[in-house]
Amino acid sequence: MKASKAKTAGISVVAVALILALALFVLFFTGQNNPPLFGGPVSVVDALGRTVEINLPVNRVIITGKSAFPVTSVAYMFPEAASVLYGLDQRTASVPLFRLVDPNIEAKTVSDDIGAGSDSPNVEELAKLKPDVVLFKTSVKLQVAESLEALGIKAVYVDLENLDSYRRDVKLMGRIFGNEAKANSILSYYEEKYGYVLAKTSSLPQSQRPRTLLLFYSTKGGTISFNAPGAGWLQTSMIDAAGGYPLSKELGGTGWNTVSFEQIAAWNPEIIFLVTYSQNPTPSQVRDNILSDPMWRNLAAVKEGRVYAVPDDAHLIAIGSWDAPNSRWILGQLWMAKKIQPGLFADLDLVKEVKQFYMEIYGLSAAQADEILQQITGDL
Amino acid sequence: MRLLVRFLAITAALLGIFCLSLFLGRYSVNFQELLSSGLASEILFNIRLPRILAAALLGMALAAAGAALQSAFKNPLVEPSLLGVSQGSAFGAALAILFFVNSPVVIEASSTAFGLLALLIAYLLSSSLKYGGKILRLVLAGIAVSAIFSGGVGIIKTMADPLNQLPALTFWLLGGLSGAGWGDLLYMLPLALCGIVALLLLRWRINLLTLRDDVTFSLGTDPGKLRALVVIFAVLAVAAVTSVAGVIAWVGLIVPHIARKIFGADNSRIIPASLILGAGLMIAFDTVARTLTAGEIPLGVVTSLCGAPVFLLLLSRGGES
Repeated sequence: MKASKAKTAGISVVAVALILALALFVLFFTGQNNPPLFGGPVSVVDALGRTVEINLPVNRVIITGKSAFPVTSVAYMFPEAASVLYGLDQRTASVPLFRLVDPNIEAKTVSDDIGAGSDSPNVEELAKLKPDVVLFKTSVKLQVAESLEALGIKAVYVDLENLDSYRRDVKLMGRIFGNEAKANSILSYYEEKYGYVLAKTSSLPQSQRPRTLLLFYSTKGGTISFNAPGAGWLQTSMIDAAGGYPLSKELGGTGWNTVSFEQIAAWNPEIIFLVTYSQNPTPSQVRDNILSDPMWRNLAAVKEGRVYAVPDDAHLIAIGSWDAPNSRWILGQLWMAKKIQPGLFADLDLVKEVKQFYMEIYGLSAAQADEILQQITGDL
Repeated sequence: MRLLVRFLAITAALLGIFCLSLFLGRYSVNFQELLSSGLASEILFNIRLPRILAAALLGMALAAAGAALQSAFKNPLVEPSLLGVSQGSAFGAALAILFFVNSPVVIEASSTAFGLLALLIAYLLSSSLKYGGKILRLVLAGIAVSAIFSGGVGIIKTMADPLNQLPALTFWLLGGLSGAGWGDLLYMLPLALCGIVALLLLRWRINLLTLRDDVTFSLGTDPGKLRALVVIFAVLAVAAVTSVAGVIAWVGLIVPHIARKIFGADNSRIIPASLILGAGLMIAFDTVARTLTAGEIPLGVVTSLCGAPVFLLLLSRGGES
């Protein structure tokens, strides 16, 4: 009798402790970190380490300034974006994917006077549009954000240059749009696909990595120039992750470096990826020219026919190429892996993957995803 | 006799630099390879040779124009960019890059036209200035025109598409011969050659411009007309090469000074010597630009980096010879 009483007491102590622990656990994970259910202030830390207090729910969000495109491309993954994004520029509004995600996009465009593409957008023009929050890529000057805050407009910086900054910035955007579940599902998609590629390629020795070169062909400035990405750029790490040896990594730093044909010949790449970010010429036209040019025919990549135009799903208007740090770099990563290591990725069905990406991440219907697939240029 | 030896020496140096440059590059070419590999001969004859010849022409045009202008304005600090020609050409090219993408002919024509326009404006402006002598007025007008056009280039830079047009514009403004092939060489040859040959023919008379204007006049030459003629041919040569190579500073300034060190103050010797030295020096600079690193270094950066110290060195030893 005594023993059983003691036993009951013991059980109830354990039970109370468990309930307390559970309550603490729930409190900890749902506490001040989460946006309040019915709106209110929430504080976020942005890519520059600034703490910004934002009133939820947000009603009007503007994404503008230099390199805004990757930010817009991630924002539209959130279903809330279609109702709160405003003040887009003409070029962004012409992207087929965005037009499907946000059918009213045309009505929300504004003139480029607000500073689309500039590292210092016009604060007064922005204020006229009365946004709650303005999202900038880190390439926009900090003074702009400070001036906006002085006018009571919140400015938040995101970076999105690599997987690490995706992890931080997608979560950040999830909190602003009030949809952290979507942020988590976006991130788990990127982690899964990137992990799938790395698992097959990371142990490849140097001898099994084809010498690969990504070239940005430009005819601007009166002469033809070939430009290769430096060691610190996304394209370089994408080639590396895809199981290739990125030749241009010996070029220091970030950004495009002009390289001569001579340098390309000295590298003698086994695989060449081409981008032009332009409709004239398209990467596919440049590929055809290179394959038929007597000077290029001595290069290994041309001999083996391994010269590929990088896919692009936005009419080649410089913002839809899969090598650039917009949301589709993950598709570019899968595509590169299949081109560089066809044996390892024989089971990878790219068309299926691409369709799944548009449907799962952007919420398109199967018919809409097919519509985008039809418009993709390059050697998918 | 000693002068002949010196001329032969600098000509030999030019030929030496030319041959050395032909066999220097990121892709290593030797004689056996030249015979066996198609790629090696393609690189030698279709990539390096036209580029070296273009560099030579560029150096000749800038150096001859610099020498002629320094005498015409009796000012050892004059170079083509002083009269607004370089900035005018740059503005013309930038305008074309912004509005007529992908058309080299338009870019080069626009650049030449604006280079000449800049000179014309500077010339007309100088006659309405009420300060200093004729020469000072022209120099002042040139500085003003230069500033206006470089402001214009600044505006175009802010309007340019940062992903596509800005890199091309920046590289062009820093100057360079990357991608210069036979076509570019043929494009700049007629105008540049016309200017260079005219200056060469005028070399005896350019000496007259270094005298006081009333002395020149008493010798039976109208200094105003002669000066105008010299300036026009110099600008023609500079605009033609600038339209392909972009803005290249310092060479037009330092080469005539080096020539004067070796051959004295007589323009009949300085002009030909500047042609040879200018060609040699520019080939050397461009070889550095294309071989030092895997990415191209803009030629204008190399000439500024090397040119400015050389200029200081020349000035600091000015009194010796």
